Amino acid sequence: MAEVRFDRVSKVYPDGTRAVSSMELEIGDEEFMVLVGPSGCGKTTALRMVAGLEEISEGELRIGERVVNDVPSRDRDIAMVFQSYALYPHLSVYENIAFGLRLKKVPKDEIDRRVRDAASVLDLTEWLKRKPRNLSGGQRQRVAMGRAIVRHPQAFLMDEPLSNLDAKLRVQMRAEIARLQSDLGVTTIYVTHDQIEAMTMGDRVAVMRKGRLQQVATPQELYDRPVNLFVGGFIGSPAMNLVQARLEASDGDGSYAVTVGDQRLSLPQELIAARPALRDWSGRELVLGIRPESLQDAALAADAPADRRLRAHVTLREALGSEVDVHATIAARSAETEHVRELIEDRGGLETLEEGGETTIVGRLAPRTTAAEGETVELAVDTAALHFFDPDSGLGIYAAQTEGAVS
Amino acid sequence: MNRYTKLTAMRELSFWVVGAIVLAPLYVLIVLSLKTKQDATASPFGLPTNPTFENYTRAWSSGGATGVPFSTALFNSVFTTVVVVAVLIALAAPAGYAIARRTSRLSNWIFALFVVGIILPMQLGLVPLFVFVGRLGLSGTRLSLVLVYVGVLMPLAVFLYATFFRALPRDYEEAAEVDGASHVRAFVQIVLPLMRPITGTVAILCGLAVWKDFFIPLVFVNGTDNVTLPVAIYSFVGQNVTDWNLIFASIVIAMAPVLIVYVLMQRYVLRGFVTGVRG
Ligand SMILES: Nc1ncnc2c1ncn2[C@@H]1O[C@H](COP(=O)(O)OP(=O)(O)O)[C@@H](O)[C@H]1O
Ligand SMILES: [Mg+2]
Repeated sequence: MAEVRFDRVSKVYPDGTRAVSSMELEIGDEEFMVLVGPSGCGKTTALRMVAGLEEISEGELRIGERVVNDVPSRDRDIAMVFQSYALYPHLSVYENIAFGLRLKKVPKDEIDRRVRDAASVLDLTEWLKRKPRNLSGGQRQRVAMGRAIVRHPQAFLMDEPLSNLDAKLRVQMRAEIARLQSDLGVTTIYVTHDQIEAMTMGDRVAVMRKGRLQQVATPQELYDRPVNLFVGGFIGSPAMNLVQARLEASDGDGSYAVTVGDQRLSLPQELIAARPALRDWSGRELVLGIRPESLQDAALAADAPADRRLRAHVTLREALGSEVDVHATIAARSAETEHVRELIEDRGGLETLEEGGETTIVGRLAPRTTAAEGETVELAVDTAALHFFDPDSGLGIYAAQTEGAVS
Repeated sequence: MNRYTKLTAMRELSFWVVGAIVLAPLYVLIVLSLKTKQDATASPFGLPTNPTFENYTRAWSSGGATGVPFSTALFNSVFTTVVVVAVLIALAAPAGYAIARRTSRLSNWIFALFVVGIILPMQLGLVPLFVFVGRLGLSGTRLSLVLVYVGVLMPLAVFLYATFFRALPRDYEEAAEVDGASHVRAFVQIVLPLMRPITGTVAILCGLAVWKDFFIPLVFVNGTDNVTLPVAIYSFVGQNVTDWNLIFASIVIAMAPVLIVYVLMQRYVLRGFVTGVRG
């Protein structure tokens, strides 16, 4: 068991692709670190450098106290779960799990004991004699896990290990892997593009984009204080609403408000206290971030003051049972900064920025809401949970540099 | 769904017709090989009135014009084929592996060279090759035959292996390395077993090419005791008289091993041809 440290690590592929840029990251002993980001952002490359499967172009990588840049994979004492599982097709489940131990010349009875232990933990005992091709997807996934855990390695590396499973199994295995990891206490780097996996599994989450680390923080910190527009938009589902807004100081009494189109939201004192840098923005345009879960049907929150509401026109109502997602347009400009556009591309470009003066926002409302398509709804806004970003740099507006921020 | 309609009847009829056309030569072959000379002349295509294996025993023990007994030719064929295939696999598999796994420009060039080697007819190099074999003092030997075949078929074998390895995910080898295996060990314990289907294909395609080849043994070992079956069969073709029933019996003998291998390895043979066609 050991820490893993990236010290300004970069990867440039022979074709010139800069897949990872100056990555600076420290993964603590026994920590579960999740690397998350959109497809193609360099997660797999980063992981493969730790595994020793990809040469490190620049910087230093340490496992424990040892710089491993030039240490071949087989001597790094790490275990990896591949996205494809890469189970040896010609070997039985037993031999697949035992393979690494046989190479280390572990005594036969010790191998047998460890394989059987791992198999019973993973519920594989009755399949030990089978070949991988005769197993279901979930079972193969567990064999891949088994192959990793019998080795008692310094670190586990997992590359989207759940992406080939169906949704239900994925939720189940998510919990199982997290439990296993904390039982075994092995340092783990887990790569995924799924922010829900990242949030639910990681002790800390490192968000990457285009080869650069954006923010490394606990899931809660990431959610509450995203360092920039990208992290704000990437973490959370449905995604944070981003609209163009203007910050205004009310006549000298020290209180502030944002105008969104022709509507005004007063900001509570504690919000300004938590983000003192906002004071410099009065009279200026910025990007306002409203999480869907910060919106509520005002009819169900009678005590919501009038200056903390947004009027919106419902265009779509999606009832999910436990809540209702309402898509509604408000009279305001979308945040049309370069960063937002890129963010939308990263998400797959499904949404488009509306032309003119209308923006669609999504609210996650309580199921009792009567908001219906085609009607106007009053949305109560939890103004204490609003987010603000610099439209030019895309950075979140807080005090100074946010903790965990990577410049 | 599966009613027997006029259309199905037509289709079945056409199958029978095509089948008959394909099988007719085989029928003639077997029938004639079982007839005496007189019988064959009297009614070449009728069923044998008095079936005999005499042709087989004669072909087996005495040769034709060259005087090489068929048993010897059969041994030569088996020996040459087996040795050539074994050497090809032993050399082409690692070569194809290296070409596929090294992404340097050099390996692309080497791959291209092998492809050119498949396309170029070997007859172009025949004379220098013949002279070269002579200078080595190997004229007429089994070794010369083996060397020439290995050289001629190596491009195809390397091509097949390289294409196979290019399509084989690296994940298996990488998983083995992370598990603690050296490159060599990963190759031996993981890659070699995964290679079985393509090895079957290479063995079939190359083995068959050697087995049925007439030209190379005719050039390199004709007139010696080292001739292979096709040349030995040809020796029954006399200047004045040709014993067709002897020839046909020897053809049946030559076919037998191929049929046995085919029955045993049907799966690989079919895949081999499909790969060969696609390649
Ligand atoms: N072997 C390679 N050669 C060249 N470019 C590569 C190679 N592997 C990955 N890349 C590029 O590096 C970037 C990061 O890839 P990857 O690490 O696989 O991303 P992720 O796992 O986050 O989806 C991508 O732009 C990808 O196209
Ligand atoms: Mg990936």
